[in-house]
Amino acid sequence: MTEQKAELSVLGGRFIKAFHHMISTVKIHQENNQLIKESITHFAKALSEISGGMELEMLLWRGRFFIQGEKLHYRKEIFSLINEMLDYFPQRGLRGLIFRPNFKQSSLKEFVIFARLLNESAGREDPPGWLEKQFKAYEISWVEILKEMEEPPELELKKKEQARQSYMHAMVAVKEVAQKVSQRSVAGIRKARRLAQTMVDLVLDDESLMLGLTTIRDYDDYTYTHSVNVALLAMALGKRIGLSQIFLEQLGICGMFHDLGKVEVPKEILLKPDMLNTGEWDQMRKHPLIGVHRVLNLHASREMKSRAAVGPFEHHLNYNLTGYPKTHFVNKVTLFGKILRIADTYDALTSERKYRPRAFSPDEALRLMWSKVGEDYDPILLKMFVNMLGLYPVGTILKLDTGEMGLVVDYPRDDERTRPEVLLLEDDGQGGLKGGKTLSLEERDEKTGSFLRNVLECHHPTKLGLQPAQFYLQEAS
Amino acid sequence: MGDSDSKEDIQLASVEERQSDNTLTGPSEEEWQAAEKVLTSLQLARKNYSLYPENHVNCERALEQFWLQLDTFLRVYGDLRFDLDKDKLIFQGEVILSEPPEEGNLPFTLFRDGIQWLELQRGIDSDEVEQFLRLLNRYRVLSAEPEGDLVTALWEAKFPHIQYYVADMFWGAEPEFDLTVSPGAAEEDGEAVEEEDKESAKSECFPPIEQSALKMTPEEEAELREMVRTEEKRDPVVEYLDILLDSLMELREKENFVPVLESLEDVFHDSLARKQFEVTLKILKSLHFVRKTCATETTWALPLIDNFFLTASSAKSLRPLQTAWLDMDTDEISQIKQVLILLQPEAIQTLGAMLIETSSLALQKMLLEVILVLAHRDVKPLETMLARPEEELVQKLVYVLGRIDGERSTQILAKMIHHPSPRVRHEALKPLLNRGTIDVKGLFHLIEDKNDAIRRLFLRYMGQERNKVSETLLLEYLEEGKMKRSDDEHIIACFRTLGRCGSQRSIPFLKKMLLGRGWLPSFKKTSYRQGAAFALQSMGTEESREVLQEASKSLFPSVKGIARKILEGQAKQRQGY
Repeated sequence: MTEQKAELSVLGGRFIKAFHHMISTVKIHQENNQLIKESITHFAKALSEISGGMELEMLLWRGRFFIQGEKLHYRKEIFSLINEMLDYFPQRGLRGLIFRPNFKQSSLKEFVIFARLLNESAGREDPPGWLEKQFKAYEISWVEILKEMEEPPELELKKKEQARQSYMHAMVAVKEVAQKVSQRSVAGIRKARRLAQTMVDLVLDDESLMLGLTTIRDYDDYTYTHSVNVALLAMALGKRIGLSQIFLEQLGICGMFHDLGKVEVPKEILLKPDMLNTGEWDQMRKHPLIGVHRVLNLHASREMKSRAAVGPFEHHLNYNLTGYPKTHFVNKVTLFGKILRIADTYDALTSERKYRPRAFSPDEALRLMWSKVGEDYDPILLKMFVNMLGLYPVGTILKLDTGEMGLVVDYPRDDERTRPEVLLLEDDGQGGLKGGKTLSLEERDEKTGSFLRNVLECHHPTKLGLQPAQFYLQEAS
Repeated sequence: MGDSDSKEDIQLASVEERQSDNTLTGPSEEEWQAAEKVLTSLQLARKNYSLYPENHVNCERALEQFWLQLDTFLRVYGDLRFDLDKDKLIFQGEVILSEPPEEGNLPFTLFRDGIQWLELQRGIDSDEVEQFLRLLNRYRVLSAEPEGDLVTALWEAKFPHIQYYVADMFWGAEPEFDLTVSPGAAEEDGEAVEEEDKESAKSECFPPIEQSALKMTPEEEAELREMVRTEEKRDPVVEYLDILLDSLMELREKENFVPVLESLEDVFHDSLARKQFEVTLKILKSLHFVRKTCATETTWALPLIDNFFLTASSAKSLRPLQTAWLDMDTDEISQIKQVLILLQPEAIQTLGAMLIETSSLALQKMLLEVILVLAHRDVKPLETMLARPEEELVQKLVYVLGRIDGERSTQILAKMIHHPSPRVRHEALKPLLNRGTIDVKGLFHLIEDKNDAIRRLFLRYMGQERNKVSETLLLEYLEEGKMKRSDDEHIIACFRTLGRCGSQRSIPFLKKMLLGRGWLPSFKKTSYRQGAAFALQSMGTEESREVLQEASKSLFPSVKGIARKILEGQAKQRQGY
């Protein structure tokens, strides 16, 4: 998380907590009660801090709060409170509020009226319309109501569009370089570096969005989507373990070019639907080394090549140095190599291949990889990877005990990765599926305290003929 | 897009506002002039940075001037922002600088890499400005297929007070695939079975991951931090080297072998220049190993590897050492010695030259030892070096040659006996004389060498033992008037040597020289007489003593005096004085 986003998360959490406290307090106490005074002072202070003297936009979209267009990340402590607020707004037909800077001139009494009106609007026929009238009547000019909002926040849209474009461009850039090195012509990496930088910025800004993109699969250009996916997964893991921006860029380059050697493997071997024979397998096993040779042909500095060569060479090398290529001089796998090994395997396992009946679902892939922890994969890094993706990684289709089907789109909290947020999938009336409500599997029944929805089964998105990224990016495209 | 990203909307909006405002008012005259001054000083600074080294006084002055103008502007008018086109900089909606869209020109340099606007903000300090100028200069002109550009450099630099917005200038209308199509629908591509899949495809059920197992322990967190710290600190060249070497071992195809060797050559040169001798050593040792493994099957690789060693041993390759060892410590000298020993003997030509260029005794010693090892493998490069005009160098190389056994070395040393430099001749003679297989007759001309030390050395050698050849040569030399030198010291030294190597056969001659009144001119008589007496003394035989006894009774006082003195000396010696 960038410093700016971390700050927003802290201030946003504080603001929603103060909001919640204010509306709860006015429900119980009289206007002159000291607790009301305190809660309003607290709210005004939180509002002042987060708005910084500017207009503050607070939106609710697909089960998430957005402050100034940025998705709000919640802390564990306020999660139940957030859940209450997530109900509070829809109950009043509210999609958001805009607080104007002139709230500073308003009296304590005005804040109390504002909070009470909000509370009271729940039972009205047209709560937003009613609220607007009341605000006008009480001359509350510092708050504006946002009613139905079909569109996502503008910044979110823009970010998704940028993410989508970066993904596509990265794929093209990898393809260009691969084709050039294959034809033995000079290939520079300026473009790839620029894309890696953009992807680093995006991963740092919104890891979930970028992980969502890694569910993109394309049969026509498998190697290239795979390369970009590996780069993104590696960068996200790199971010999690605290690699600096420059090293994330290098890791991204390693990921983008890790399969450069595949360009040289004959198509009939790459596309063979059956198991490979020994000769074919020997050919296949050469691709890491050929990849190294192609990296050597890049028009790049020695230092850049030094880093980039790790990608091709080590991505099939196991943690315990088994795997391939055979090593004589290399006596340990680098951190980049270990990360790429994990990212590469995960993306390969979750991709459709001609030689096997189906792709592994994301959670299945993680379980398989976990069964080889300490042998094929670095235990600490794999642990971080599983924690990053969650028990049901983004892109997993969940069958819920309510009979609903949901696509995992995110996790509301960084420290809890068992109950994701899902986009409910609904019949689009044309034989396909469309995205419906987004909700959290952490939601509980108010009376019993038990979870409202539980996971029954997990599926690979291809089972339903889905390209999960379509749902993440649909607004953008 | 760097740090500018989040500001994009606000910034672009404000440009529009400014531009629309300016249609009414425009910047004030003073503000415009201040911005122009900043630009002029920036242009001057860029020019100086392109002409002089960055630490040149002209660059420092130009930087100071730019910084001054910028700081003045920022304090009075706030952040300074320029919008960009390929051939112009726009300030507050008006063109403030116009230059043809050519490499090197400021608008083009920025625009070329996709920068749409650039803003210098309050709070910027001179260090940031200096770094910025360096980057501008470094990326004035972009090579074909470059590795990076100005935008990449700015992204990496993360300047806190320089913001910019970058457009996606690389992209046009690239085809995009349809995300609404399920990948399962297509059946054309895929990838062949990979190792992990072969196993995993068999099973569809894997045990669940226990939540408790996913919790990071404090130790693991510490280990992870250490992993990251090590990764960010490590020199990637070490792993790169291993990868290249493994690649040579595993991918035995000629077309791939050559570029790997070229890359290794690159690392080799760099490691030498950077004094990373452990890397240099690893390259050479490993290549020796690779060469061994090529000896049976991939013989085509042998000349390629040999060529690597030859290139590595060349003057061009080893020259960086001259700078590197200005401040080498003992450990480094020891390391580089191990490196140099693995080179080809051709390296002697460069190492020899270095030998006389360094004043460090430790380095000289190391170089001599290396040259010795290399010359043992092939003496020819050393032999070639012996034709060099530098006396000191040739002397040192002859010293090395003297430590190499064998016929060829002896032949070369014998040749060096004729070298014009007495120091070289002396250096060559010493080992030759020690070899014992020497042709005394062939070297006898040294008895007349102009250099005292050489003559003494040769005479000492001849006088080491009774030797017929030496005796004959000396007798002829002394008896037949072949001697060209006339100094007493030399004559006496020759006689003494004859006394040591000679036999009974010389006594008549010595007797004649001591007692006789023959052909010798009077100025030589004394030294011949003295010499003969000393020779007889050295012989120490009964016959020689008899001659000395006879001489001690001579009527000629000079003869008698010499003989008595010697006999008395001998008597004292016998009595133990």
